[in-house]
Amino acid sequence: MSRANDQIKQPEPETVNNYHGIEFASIEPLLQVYCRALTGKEVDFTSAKGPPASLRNTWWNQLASGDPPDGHINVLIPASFMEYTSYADNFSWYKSVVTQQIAHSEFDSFNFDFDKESTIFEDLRYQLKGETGHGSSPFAKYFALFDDPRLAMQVFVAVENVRINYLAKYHYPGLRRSYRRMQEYNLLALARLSGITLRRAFIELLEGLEIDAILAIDEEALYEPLNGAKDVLDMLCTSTADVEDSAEAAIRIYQIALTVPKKALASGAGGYGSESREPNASDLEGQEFMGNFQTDKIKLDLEIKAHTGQKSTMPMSAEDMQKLADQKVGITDIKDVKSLPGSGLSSASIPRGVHVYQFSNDKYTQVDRYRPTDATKPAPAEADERLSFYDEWDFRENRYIGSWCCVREKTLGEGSSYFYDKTLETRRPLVAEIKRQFERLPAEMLYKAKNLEDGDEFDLDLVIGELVDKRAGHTPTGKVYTRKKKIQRDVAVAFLLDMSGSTADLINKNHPTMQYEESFKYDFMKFVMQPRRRIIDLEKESIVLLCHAIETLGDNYGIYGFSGHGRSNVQFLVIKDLNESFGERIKRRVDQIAPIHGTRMGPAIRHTISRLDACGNTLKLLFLVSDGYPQDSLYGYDDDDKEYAIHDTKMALIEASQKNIIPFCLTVDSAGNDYLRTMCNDIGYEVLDDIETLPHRLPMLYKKLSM
Amino acid sequence: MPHKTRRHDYKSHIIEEYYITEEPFYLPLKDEVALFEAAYAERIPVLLKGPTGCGKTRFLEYMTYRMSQKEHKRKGSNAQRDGIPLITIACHEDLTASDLVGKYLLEGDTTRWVDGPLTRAVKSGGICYLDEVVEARKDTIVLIHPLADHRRSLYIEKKGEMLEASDSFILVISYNPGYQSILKNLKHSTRQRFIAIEFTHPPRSIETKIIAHEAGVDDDTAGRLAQLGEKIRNLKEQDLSEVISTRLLIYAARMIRQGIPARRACEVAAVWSITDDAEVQKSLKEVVTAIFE
Repeated sequence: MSRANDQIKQPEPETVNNYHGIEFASIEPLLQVYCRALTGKEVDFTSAKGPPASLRNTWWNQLASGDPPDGHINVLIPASFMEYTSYADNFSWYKSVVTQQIAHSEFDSFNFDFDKESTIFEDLRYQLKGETGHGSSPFAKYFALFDDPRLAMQVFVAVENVRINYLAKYHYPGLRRSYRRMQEYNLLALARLSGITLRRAFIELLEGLEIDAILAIDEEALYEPLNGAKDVLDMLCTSTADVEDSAEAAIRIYQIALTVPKKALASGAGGYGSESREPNASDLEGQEFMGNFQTDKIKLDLEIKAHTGQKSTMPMSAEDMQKLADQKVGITDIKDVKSLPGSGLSSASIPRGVHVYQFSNDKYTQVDRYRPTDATKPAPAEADERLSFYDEWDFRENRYIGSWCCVREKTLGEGSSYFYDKTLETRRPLVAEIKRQFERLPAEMLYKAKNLEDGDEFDLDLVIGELVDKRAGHTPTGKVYTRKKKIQRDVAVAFLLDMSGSTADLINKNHPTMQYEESFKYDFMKFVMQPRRRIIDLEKESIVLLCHAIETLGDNYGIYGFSGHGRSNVQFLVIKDLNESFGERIKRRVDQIAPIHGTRMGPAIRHTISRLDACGNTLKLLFLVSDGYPQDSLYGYDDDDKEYAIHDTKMALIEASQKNIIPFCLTVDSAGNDYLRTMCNDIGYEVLDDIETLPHRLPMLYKKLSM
Repeated sequence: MPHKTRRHDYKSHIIEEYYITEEPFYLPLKDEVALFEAAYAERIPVLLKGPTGCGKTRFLEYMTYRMSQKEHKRKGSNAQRDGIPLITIACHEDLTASDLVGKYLLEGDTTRWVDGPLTRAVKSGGICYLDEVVEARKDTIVLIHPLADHRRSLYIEKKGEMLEASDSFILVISYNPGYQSILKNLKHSTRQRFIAIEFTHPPRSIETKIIAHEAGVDDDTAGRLAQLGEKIRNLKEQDLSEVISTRLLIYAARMIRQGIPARRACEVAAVWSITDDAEVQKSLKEVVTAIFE
């Protein structure tokens, strides 16, 4: 058993605007695979209502209710957690809690064999009553050995928890730090128990002995027994200990527990004993185990009922525990180690100045997403609008929300063709280069079929092989020809252009706003009017060059812009529709491409998919050009739910692949690598470090993808 | 000044003269050594089945060494040529019958016959190991049929010859049933000519010893890596199409021995090598960070 040398860390104050809480749903798939790896079994996660400290006894609850894990392991877990100020700490807490629960399956808490000998202790099982126990299950036989089976059960559960905690940290040393922190958290929660007996306190403190931690209690009568129990637990804490060893250790600690008086714990010590009255028997025995035990479901076939003549009241109710947890009381009056006679604990093991913070299941204020209010209902379609509804993917719920987004499609208004013509003129060298590149693309591609008896040309390798065989006296097969077969170029491509507000950002690279020039000193207007382009301007330029290039190929292409505000107002703007022929009107529409609002990518992609899907072309491409990650009003559980938005977009891109459409994402956001890796798992993407290269890169990428 | 020339320290062997002269490290998992010895004594062809990197090739090298030692004892000679050569042929879908058996080459106005590796193995009496045999085309595989039954002979069509195998010749094939598609499965007429020895990943205790020996790391590191292997293998089928091999765990151990932190070594050798799925990678990294500090 390792000796503790650190005090329990005081949680840092939570920063109001820096939310690091975790909803379990967001990490469930990750931990699901993690649990499967550790146990080789399926794990079902169930939302826990009680305080987190009670989760450590989940295994016993399952066993007691006759539902020990067989093929599946049930893990109880709170829906959200935000005790700590960093995401990493909150995640580590979840990981430790999950590991603790599944460790009971991994290290065989459920597979107790009454007849299997202990490898650490001398077996007292057969000496307790001078006979083997009676009962239908090994556990029932075991508990029947005790005069007070209920006390034995409490002791056994605590001892087995000690063994599991030790083994979990032994086998998963990378978890030690966070696991111990979780144990300390549980220990502090124990301090909230009030009105319990001294004997009960003794049992509750057993688990802390494994990490050499103890809560200060002004009761000398406890320290001698705790010291004795620690000796037993020290022997138990080895890497080879099994559940039978726990059973033997529990027998010894049970006997120590019998020496601890059942009187009420004195008040005023630490967080214990809030009441000074002498509690009656029912109080003391009714306030039982820390944990969300289901008292009415105990199916262990124990003889408790016969012995005690009362209902088996294993647990303290979840409601009581919640009440205790909600008290949010800090423990500050920690006694010095010298006042803990015979505890065997160092001062370092005593938590000082620690605080227990309130735990709540739903601190993360959630929007009731699935009950749309009037404000989110789409407005009726205008004369030139076409409304389409699309599902949205909620990765936390792992399901689609039906008809969640309303896409409002309309053709972009027309401006002047000046921008189009001016771009071709100013970018003349680039236009010429792209045109040259595109003209090299053959309208039809050829592939070579081999091993033919008749064809266009000889295959030299085959001919030589045949000649050698002929020379050696064998009959040639005659299959020495190749033939070029034509594949007609049949491409449909849709370019989906991000027209969100952020595309209005200025590009400063080559045009620094405060670049000093001597002439500015005398001409302020010249300084103000110096050309400063926006991201959208480069997108427009790229589109112009692209139109010009694709026209030389004759491919079927469409150009669409998207933006909007909220799920009921996803704007889908047609600049050039698929199958629409190019002309002056398209040039004038390009002029009107301008930044609008949010970036709800999912529905825009889905709408584009429906357009492409209707095309009969062989090769279909979807080109997404954006300047950042998807973000829109309530795109997720709040306005800044980046993860949700990325997952919905990812799912939309996967949907495209499923319909044999090749999606490709091109972003000019230099931080794009971070989220595109998630968003475009197996889908092609490119991040342009230098946005100025967009007009050149976009046509080239298209050329490459359409081959 | 004399020129400094780069020293070339490679070794070249003619395939029928490739002998295993030093005992390879191999820890038996079950009774596979006894099974192979019995099969060899009866000259029954052997099929080695098992996932990639679980030790099939190492086992065969070990058995070749053992069989050679027996031959030496029987012949009372320690000369290399009295041992048994190991001839390995990696099968692939472009492997033709000519590639295995041999072909005519032009030489001036005439042609010259050149034996393929299978023919050379049959003549030299070696252990002929066809690795990943299902990758070969079906018309190629049928070539080995007469070699793999009581006839023990190879028909060389272009020469019009029937070659009877040397006494010490045996055919061993291997394949990994895990990633074979229906299109690439071994025909029953082929597989029913072999006894099959199945290999699995070694249990943690044995794998620990293997990793410690092969990579030269301490038992604790080797044990943790074996534990990682065991955990990742729990994800077979559902999350991973192919689980981690002992070979990769050894690579991770070697990286650690070279001073790469354990977590990083496992990331590059164990996590990224076996899956491209970003979500599964994340979960595997959590397993790694739980096991390694």
